[in-house]
Amino acid sequence: MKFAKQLIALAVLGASVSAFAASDINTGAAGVAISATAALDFRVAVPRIIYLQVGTGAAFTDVTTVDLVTFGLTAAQVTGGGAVVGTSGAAITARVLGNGGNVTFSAAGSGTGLTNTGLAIIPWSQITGTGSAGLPHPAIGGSTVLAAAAGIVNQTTTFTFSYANATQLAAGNYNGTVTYTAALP
Amino acid sequence: MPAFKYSTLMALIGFGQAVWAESDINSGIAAGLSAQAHLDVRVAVPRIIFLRVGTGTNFADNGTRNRVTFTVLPANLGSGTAVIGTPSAGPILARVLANGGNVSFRASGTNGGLASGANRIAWTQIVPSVSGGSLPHPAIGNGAPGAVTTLVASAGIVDRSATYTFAYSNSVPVPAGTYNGRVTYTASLP
Repeated sequence: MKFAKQLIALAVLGASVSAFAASDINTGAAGVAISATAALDFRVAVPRIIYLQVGTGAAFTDVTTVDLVTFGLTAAQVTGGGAVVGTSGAAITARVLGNGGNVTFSAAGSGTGLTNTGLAIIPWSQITGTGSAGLPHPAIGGSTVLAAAAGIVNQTTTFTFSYANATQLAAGNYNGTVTYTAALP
Repeated sequence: MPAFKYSTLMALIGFGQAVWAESDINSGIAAGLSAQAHLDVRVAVPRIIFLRVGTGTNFADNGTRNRVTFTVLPANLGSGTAVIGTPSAGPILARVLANGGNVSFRASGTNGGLASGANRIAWTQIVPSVSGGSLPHPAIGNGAPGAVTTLVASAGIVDRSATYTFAYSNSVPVPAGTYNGRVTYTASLP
């Protein structure tokens, strides 16, 4: 009986210590349940990351390859106008992953449009990209907000492109570059 | 004159307790004379239970608490590639010693998992491994003890040890942050 009381006293006095200990020893008389406790802390350190892939890329790796979308016009399209879809590079893989809340996704075209030295410029407004509901293609020169779910944005889609072909142009290759940016606040 | 054996006489006349005497004297001239005394011996062994996880001192309380840290690399976030934990103070040594029969061994994780603000990483993402011994790691419960692991005694004794290592499954992307949690281990004798 006396020993049991001692055990109870020890349990009360030592409860907080035992709960945080790395080792713990306790004793007791026959027929008295006893236990020992030890604790171990765990930590997972997760950095803020933002990952963007448009075209050739590898998951969570920097890749410097820049893909090319070409709109190769037929003679009829030159004379008749009408929208033209990409004839090469027609399907561009796109992915955004961020773990810091909403992501602002923007697209900026080079200069004022696609250029061919000495000839007219095709304004970027003539180039339209299409993505998905989760990862829409921002207007070139604009941006869109990708809403996070539980702090995460993780969207993958395929971008397709269209050239409005609204104006007849002199023959030549008109080149431009769109720079995409995915940003966490 | 025959040897006079005092203790025998005492027994014959009814003083049986003489065989438990602490002293005995006999006399005589015949060979084979002896005297006997008895001494009872008792070893009092209390029931004990000892548990160590991480830094500890064998058979003593040690209040040092270790931490296992998993550092997720940016290129690895949510990739499904497990991240091996780094202990704060060397390998996580674990030992249970008890002398009262089978031991119930349990592990209880803080409720909800590892926390970073309102964000959580479930305890199911923390995967223990055991090496170098025979002390299994019990299932980590979420806010309560997980399934009990029974350590079967041999001749009433449980004395098992092992080295624990831990991995973070990293199977889904999680918001940035430092996620902390604690597992409390309990070894019990009924």
